[in-house]
Amino acid sequence: MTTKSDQSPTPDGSPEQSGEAIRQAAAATRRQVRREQRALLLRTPGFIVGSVIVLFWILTAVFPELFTVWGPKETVVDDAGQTLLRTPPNSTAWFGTDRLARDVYSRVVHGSRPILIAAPAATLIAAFIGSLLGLITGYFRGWVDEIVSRLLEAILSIPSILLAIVIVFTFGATNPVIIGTIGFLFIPPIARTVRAATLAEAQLDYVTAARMRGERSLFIISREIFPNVIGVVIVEVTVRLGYAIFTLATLAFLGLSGGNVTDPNWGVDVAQNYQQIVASVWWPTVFPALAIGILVIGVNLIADSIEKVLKS
Amino acid sequence: MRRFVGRRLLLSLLTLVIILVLITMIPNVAPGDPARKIAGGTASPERLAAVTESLGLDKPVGEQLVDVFSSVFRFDFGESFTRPGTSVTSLVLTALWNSTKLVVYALLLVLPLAIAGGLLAAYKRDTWLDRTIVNTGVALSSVPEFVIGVLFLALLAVPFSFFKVLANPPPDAGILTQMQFLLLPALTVLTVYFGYIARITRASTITALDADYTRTAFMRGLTTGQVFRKHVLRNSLVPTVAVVGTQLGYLFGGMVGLELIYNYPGLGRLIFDAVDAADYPLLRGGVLTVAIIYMFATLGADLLIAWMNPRARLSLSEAG
Repeated sequence: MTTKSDQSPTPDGSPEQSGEAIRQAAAATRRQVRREQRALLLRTPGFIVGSVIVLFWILTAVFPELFTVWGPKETVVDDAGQTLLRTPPNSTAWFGTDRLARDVYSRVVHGSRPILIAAPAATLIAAFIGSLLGLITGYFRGWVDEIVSRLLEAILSIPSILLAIVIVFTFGATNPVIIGTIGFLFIPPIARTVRAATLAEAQLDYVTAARMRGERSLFIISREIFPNVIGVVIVEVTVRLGYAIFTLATLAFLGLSGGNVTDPNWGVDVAQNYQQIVASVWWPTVFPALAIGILVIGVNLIADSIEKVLKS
Repeated sequence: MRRFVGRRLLLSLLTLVIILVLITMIPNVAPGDPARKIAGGTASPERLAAVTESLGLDKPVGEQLVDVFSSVFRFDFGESFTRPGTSVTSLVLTALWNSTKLVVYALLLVLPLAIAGGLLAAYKRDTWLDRTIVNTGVALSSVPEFVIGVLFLALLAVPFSFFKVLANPPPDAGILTQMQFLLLPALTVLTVYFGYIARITRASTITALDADYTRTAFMRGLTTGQVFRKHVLRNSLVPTVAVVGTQLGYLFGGMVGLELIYNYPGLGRLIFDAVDAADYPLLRGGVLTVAIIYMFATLGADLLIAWMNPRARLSLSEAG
C-alpha cells in the first residue's frame, strides 16, 4: 500500500535548499524502510490469515449473490415444495433455516455488508479527528492540551458500550447516528496514542532544528512529525477497526442496528434467535455469532502483525 | 508520595465532574422532548409537566447541574420512573451487589490462570507453547463477550445440565449453588480476559527477565523460583495490576450483552433497561455508579503501582 506521505515533497523553489535536500534524503530512507516493512508483513502468517478472512468478508459484502442461492429474507422450500421451518443444516440450506424458514447461510453472507460499511466509516472519522487532536495537543501542549486531555480521560472512564447505548438511544438508532457515535467514542483512545507519540517526537533534535529554521508550526506538524508517527496511527486505526466491529455487533445485539429487524445483520440475528438454543435450535444463533468472531479475529490478526513489524 | 496521592485524587475528582456535566446534558440536548417520550404521546398536560419537573428540565441547565452534584454526594438519585415508589439508590445497590459477585468470581478464576499463563509464556519465550498461549488469548479477547456467551450456551449449557442457562439462582441459594449458576458467565469473562491479562504479564515478565538485575541474580546462583519470587514478579506484575484496574469499570458496567444472555440483573443490565424505558434518574444513577467504580479502581491501581514501584510515582506525576 503506497501512502501519499511516501512521496517526497516536491521542491517548490523555496530558499531552504539544504533543508529540502535533507528532507528528500530522509524521505528516501523512509521509503526504503517502508518497503522492507511491507515485505516483512507479507511473510507474517498472522497477516496472511487475517487478510484472507477480511478479504473473504469484503467479497461477501460486495457480491453476496455470488455465494448464495436463497435471498436473505426468502422462505426456503425443499424439492417437494415443503416450507423448511427451523430445519437443521442440510443440503438445501447449508446452515439450516430459522423460525421464519429463512436460509441462515444466506443471512450470514448478506450480514457482512452493514458491519463492513459502518465499522470502517466510524473508524475513519475517529482516526481523522483523533490524529488531529493528538498532533495538536502533543505539539503545542499548554492549557489547550490540559483541557482536551481531561475531557478525553472523562470519556474514556465510562465503558464505551454504555456511552454508545445512551447516545444512540437519545438520538435514535439510525445508521448516521450509530456511525457518528462510534466515531466520537473512538476519538479519545486514538488522540491519546497519537499525542503520546507526538510528544516524544516533538522533543527530538530534528523538530528543534525545524523550529530554529523558522518553519511554521503547521509545516512542522504535517511534514516533519506526522510522517514519523504514521506507523502509530496505522496500528491504532487497525486496532480500533476491530473494536468498532465489536461495538457495532454488540449494539446490534442490543437492538440498536439502524436497519430493520428483518434485514440480515449478525448481531440482530443472534439476539433474535439465542433463546431457542435451549430448545436445541442452535444454528440460527451459532453461525452469525461465529461470523462476528471470525471477522473480529481477522482484523485483530492484521493489527497485531502490523504492530509487530513496525516495532521490529 | 503524599503529593502524588493528592494530585491523583484531584485528577479523579475532575474526571467525575466532567462525567456529571456530560450526563446532565444528555436530556437537554436530546432531540424532541424527552418528557413527552417518557410520558407517552397521549399524556395529559399535567402528567407531562410532572415528568418534565422530575427530569429537572423545567430549570435552567446551571440549576440542574447543582441538583445532580448534590444528588451524587448524598448518593440519592431520586425515584425510578419505571418502578414508581422505588428509589434509584436501592435498585442500583442491588445491581451493584450482583455485579460484584460476578466480577469477584470471574477475577478469582482469571487472575491466577492468566498470570500463570503469562509467566509460562515469558519463561518459554518463542516456543510453540508461548505462541499458542499468546495467539489463542489474543484471538479470544477480541471477540465480543455475547458471542462467547451464546457459544457456551450451545456447547455447554444444552448438553450438560450442570451448567445453568440462566445465571440468577433461586433466592435462598447457598454460596455453592450461586457459584454453579454463575459459572457460565464467569467462564465467559475468563475466556475474554485471559489473553488480555496473560499478554500484559508476558510482556512485562520478559522485560524483567532481560534486566541486568535478573542476570545478576541468576549468576549469584539463585534458583529459578527464587529469582522469580524476589526479582521478576515484583516488577512484572505492575502492568498487570494497572490493566486489571482500568478494566474493572468495564467488568462492572460493560457486560451488557453477557448479562442479557444469562438474564443476570447486574449493572450493565440495569443501565440497558433504564435507557430502554427512558428512565433518566435510573440511567443517571447507574452510569455515575460505574464511573465512580472506574475512578476508584484506576486510583487504587495507580496507588498500588506507586507503592510497588517508586519510579512510577515520578513518571505519573509528570505525565499529568
